[in-house]
Amino acid sequence: MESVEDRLKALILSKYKSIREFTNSIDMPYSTFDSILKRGIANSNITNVLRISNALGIDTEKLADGEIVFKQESVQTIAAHKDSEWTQDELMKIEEYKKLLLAARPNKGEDQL
Amino acid sequence: MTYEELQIENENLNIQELDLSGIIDLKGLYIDGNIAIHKNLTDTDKACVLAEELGHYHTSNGNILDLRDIGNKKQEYAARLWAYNKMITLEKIISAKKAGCCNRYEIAEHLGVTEAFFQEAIDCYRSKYGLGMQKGEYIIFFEPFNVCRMTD
Repeated sequence: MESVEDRLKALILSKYKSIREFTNSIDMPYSTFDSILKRGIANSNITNVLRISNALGIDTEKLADGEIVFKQESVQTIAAHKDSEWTQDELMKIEEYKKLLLAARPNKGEDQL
Repeated sequence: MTYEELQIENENLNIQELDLSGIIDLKGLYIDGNIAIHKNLTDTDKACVLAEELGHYHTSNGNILDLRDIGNKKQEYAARLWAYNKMITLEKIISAKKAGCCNRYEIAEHLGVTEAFFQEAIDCYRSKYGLGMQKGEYIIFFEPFNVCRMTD
């Protein structure tokens, strides 16, 4: 099975022209990134891992566990009309509907590699 | 505009019909350009709900679920106003009259909206324009609702 480091490299190359372009964009020496790939993400400096994951919009904790999972987009605007006050159960239902609705977006398949 | 026409006009948005029956009276939900419409509504109801959710797309910002907040209430009102202007313009009311509609029930049906939605729009126009206004050779009275041709 492909290592997380290989998948990370493939992800970067799908978004940037080269690894060097990516490392330049996050202000990290190419050699530092190269040694992260060789040594393994789990054995790397957390600050560097955070810099990489934030730039790619992926979950840092999952990355350290060997998975590449895109972070959930934070919801900016939400509206639903109801005449009375929301109960806790209803707000939980809204969360369910939110997940269903966002999962139905046409480009959803790109969320996990 | 019909429900289908609204969907086609906004095909860039994610519009889904979902079972929202877990929350009493919930007909629609708007989240960042994604819209859920309760699947068990009539097409006329769906059109009105979709118009309101599109109103949120064009006018709302932030989490406005809590309508006890006056700012959120204003945003809800702005979204509704957008929906009324989309579905029920004064010109459309006059064209319904010209098409032979005699009362608000017939006009609502002609415009493809529910009577409740139509009445809310009329109430809104009443607070905006007063008791009535002239539009060309027609006068629209908002309370009680009536449309008259001036030569009548």
